[in-house]
Amino acid sequence: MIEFIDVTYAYPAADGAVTALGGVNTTLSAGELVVVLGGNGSGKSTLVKLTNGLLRPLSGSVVVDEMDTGDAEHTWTVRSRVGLVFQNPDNQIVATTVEEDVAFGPENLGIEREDIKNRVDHAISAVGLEGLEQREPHQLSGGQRQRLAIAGALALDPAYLVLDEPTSMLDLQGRADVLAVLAALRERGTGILHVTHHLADAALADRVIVLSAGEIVFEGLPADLLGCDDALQRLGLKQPPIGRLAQELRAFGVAVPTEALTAERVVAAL
Amino acid sequence: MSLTMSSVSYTYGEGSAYATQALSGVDLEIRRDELVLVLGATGSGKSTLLRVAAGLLAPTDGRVLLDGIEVTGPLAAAEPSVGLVFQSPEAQLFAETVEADVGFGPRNIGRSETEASEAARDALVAVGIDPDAFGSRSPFSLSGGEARRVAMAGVLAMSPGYLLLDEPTAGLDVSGREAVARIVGAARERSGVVVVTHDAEEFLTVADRVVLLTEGHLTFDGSADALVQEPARFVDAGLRVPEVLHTQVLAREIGLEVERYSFDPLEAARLLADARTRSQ
Repeated sequence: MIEFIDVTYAYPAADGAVTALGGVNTTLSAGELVVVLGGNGSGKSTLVKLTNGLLRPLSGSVVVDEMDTGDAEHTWTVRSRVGLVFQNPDNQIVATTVEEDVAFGPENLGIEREDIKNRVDHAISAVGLEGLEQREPHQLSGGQRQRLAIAGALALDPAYLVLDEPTSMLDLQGRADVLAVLAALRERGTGILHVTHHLADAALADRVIVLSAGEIVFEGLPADLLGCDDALQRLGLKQPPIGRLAQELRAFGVAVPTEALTAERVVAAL
Repeated sequence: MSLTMSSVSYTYGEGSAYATQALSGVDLEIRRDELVLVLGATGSGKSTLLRVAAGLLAPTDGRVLLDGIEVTGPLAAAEPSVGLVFQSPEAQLFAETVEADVGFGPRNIGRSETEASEAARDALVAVGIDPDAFGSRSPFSLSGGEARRVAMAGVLAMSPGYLLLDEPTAGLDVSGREAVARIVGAARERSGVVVVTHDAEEFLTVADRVVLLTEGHLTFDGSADALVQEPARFVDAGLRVPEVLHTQVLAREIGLEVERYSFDPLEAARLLADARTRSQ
């Protein structure tokens, strides 16, 4: 489990420190998919960097499987447990073929050759890039490149995967493919923290957290957030077009569940 | 007055073993007063289209006409006619202050100090950034959404006759996306606007015309409403059908007689509710 206990963080600035997180308490368990929503500047990316000790809390603590990220002796163990994936896949790809790129992490850790081969095959199949092992990364689509970045993190065999807006630069198909990979990883027991701007992504989560100005202003089930327009507005969030369609259908007397934010689920209610 | 592409083709690395044709015989006319949405999958040629239209790339074949005058290759004219806002343009902010960054373009082409600072002020106002509050700040102290808008102001300050934008809302939050969509909608008053985007649903309602690119070929040019009547076109272009439209397609598949397709969520709900009532 990853635990955030009274975590604060502030960045230095010319006129004093700028608080990015002010007293955050939450957890991420194995096999759980948690979606974090919030506007630009809400502290989402700071939260991400705190999960594996890339940043250390100003006060409070972040504990990964009972290891404090502030404890220097655990640094490398913590980083191997928590894989990070960022917004732009092109900033995360280093090698000239898909296979070599996925192998970079484990090679760097000095893992046995045969084990590396297993991990690479495993990671590539987990993200659905089989058959593209010898491709050059720039020949892949944006969605495929982001799945390659995820495979690079998976090759280190992390217990938790933390993703900072992994779909914001992708088209609809690329987004759907990445979301499907996250759902499959959750089924296999990986704990996933998915930071996103897309409210529709929250429908797939076990739990949703909304961050605003460095504080958790909502934490609960997707249905409780997505169904409540007042809450959404107060939190600076907005229904995606499919949500507005579902809402309008409810006004026409059709019983569409509030967490139904895909075409399939809306049609099932018709 | 229009920006016209006539039988334009573009091949990267022409004549080499790595030659890749990005555009094939594209005919497209953008008028001064319209907003044209360009949709297409990754690798369909969208960004190449913008680069050719802006004169950054000379077409391998065909012609680009700017208000009736043929332009080939980089535009050397002092009067900038076509402004291009790249993807993540905030990465190109470089000056010490917001004002200096936005005013760089007009100063660079020899406008007087008064004209340049006035153009910078107007452009900042147009993107909803208060020149008095932000003008003397460092561009690197801005939030993601503010930086994006300042970068757009840098292009608007050149008063381009045609404004081309590559994925203007990518990576922004809800309020940032809404602000950018408003700026883009308003820009049509002064320029012909071309928007390349993944976020089809965001711009379908404001676009005068939609163009679909499929592997370098222009496969559709018409109104947004005409496009959504043929959802298969999205699939053929390698795009996912937008969720609101997909809902209506699935509803027809299960036997509901949906009268017509709409990209507007509220109208779509009414059409679906009507079809449901008829089937009961």
